Amino acid sequence: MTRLATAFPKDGLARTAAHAVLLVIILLLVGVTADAGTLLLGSVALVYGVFALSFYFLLKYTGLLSFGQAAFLGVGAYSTAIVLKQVHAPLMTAFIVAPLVSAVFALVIGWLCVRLKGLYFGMLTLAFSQLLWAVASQTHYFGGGDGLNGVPADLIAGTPDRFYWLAAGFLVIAFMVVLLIGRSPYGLVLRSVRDNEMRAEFAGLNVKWLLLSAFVLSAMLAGWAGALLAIYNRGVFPDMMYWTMSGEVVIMVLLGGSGYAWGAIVGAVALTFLKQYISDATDYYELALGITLVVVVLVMPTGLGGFAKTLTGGLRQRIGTSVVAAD
Amino acid sequence: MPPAINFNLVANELVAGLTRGAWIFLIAAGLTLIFGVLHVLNFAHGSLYLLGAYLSYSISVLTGRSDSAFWIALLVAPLIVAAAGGVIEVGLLRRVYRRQLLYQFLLMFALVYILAGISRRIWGTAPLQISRPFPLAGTLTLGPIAVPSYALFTVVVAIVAGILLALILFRTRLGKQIRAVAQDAEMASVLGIRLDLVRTFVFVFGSWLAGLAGVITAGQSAFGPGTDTDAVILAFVVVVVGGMGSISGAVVGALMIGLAEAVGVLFVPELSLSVVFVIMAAVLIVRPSGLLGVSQH
Repeated sequence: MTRLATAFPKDGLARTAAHAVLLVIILLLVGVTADAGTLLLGSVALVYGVFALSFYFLLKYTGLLSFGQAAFLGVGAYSTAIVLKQVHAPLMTAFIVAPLVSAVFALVIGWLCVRLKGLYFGMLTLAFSQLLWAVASQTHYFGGGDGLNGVPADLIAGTPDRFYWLAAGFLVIAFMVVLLIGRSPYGLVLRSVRDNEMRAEFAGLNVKWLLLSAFVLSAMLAGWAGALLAIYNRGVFPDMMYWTMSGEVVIMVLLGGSGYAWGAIVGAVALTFLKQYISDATDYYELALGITLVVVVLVMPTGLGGFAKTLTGGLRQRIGTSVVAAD
Repeated sequence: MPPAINFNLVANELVAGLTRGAWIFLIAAGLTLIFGVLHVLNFAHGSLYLLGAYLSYSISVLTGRSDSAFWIALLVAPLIVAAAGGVIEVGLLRRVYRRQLLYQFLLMFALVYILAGISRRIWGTAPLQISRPFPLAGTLTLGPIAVPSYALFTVVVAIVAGILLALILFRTRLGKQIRAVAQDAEMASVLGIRLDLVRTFVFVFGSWLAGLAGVITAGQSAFGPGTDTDAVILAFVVVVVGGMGSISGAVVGALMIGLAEAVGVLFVPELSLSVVFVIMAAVLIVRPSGLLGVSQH
């Protein structure tokens, strides 16, 4: 109830702006101070941040647990590769084409999926993502198991910081989209569907259409992440759509704390750096990562974000209000 | 061009499909049992299965790659995997039954990582294989049909495992308790059934089945990192198609998927990977509870 109450006041926009400004400041500080290596790794972390936000959006506002989110990462990535490599379109077209193609796929897949509940919904999204993986793996046009290499990205070639700023820009946009939708009437309606579907239906809401629209929006964000990933890697691979990728995005969001949009970003950054640092230090990052996740499940059930919040008490809340007051 | 259809080809593919189905059933049986009773999506099932394969490799090396190595592995490896399953259930899984699906998922994923990490540490990343013992190495010819004797052996093991599973579930007191817990855990607990013991047994038995499937696979094809995630997704397809938690559904689903893969490879090789997921999606769309599952709607 408190959530509903805080969502209505007029300071909602200001609060969103405050969060976005904080994110921009952090990204600026990192972008200016970090060395090339960190920036390179940081860039891919930001891409996964966008991907994690897409999953967070669907989970948080609709309660739908997708086991196939990687499908739309892959669709966005492959359409980017085709647009840039085969059609030779300018780089930025990818960021229009990728979410649109993802949206078309999500319309069809989502229309079939949102009629199912809980586990069955998850299983059907899994089936479709695996189907796309299988098709990409075995179709000559999509490069088969090797994927498509040599995606041109001259615009951001050269120094690693160019891609970093590109990814950071899209992360900020995705973050604001998610927060603004959350505070909009549309977001509130989505949550009412999540909390009590039957009651929402009785209230005259078109539940199926609402869920489908959220599914499509989430897929478009994932499509953006896919476009970024294709450009970052200069190529696309079927395994971008394999079920373990869909699993990783669940890990990112839960690791950061599934209750907050910040959690998705923190989780994506944490997982990316964790993987990298542990595999630098030892050859066996899987073991350390697995143990970390067990600790998160058993000791920090609300993720890193929730754990930090518990540790700092209401500190975060107070900072939030003071920023808004100053605004 | 698809190959010309003749009796021999069709018969051979049918046999290939059925034997593949038997092998898939072995992998899926434990998964569906665990889901049916514990209502947990055991993504680590493929990892336990791969552990069984790795253990049989070690046993084969320890016994000097003798002919008896395979039989020792068949006996010992599934037991070790079952013990590992026991540790997992008692140490970790037990703490998350009451938690949201999401956290169960996260824990399972953590186990996938942990088991992959341990396996990599012990067995490295190169694909491994073990040799088949003498009587299983050849090919049997029945008229126009040629069957590897190992494939027939796989069918026998799958049938024995299926019968064992059915006997335990439907002919023992423990089986009755398991079915009661599957239906309504709370009610079963009120009636004095030890929930914790039943759950531990089910997970241990499911892990044993995974280990058994792993040993069978070790004698059949090369295995290594990635075998775990490939297997568990195949098992999920079977479980979904047959009906989540339904053992007879797993039999039907496994045979169906095995046949579909064999036929798919023959006629549309460029779509052979897709076939199983098309079936999975179609079943979920038309009948979400699976072919033999009980509708929960």
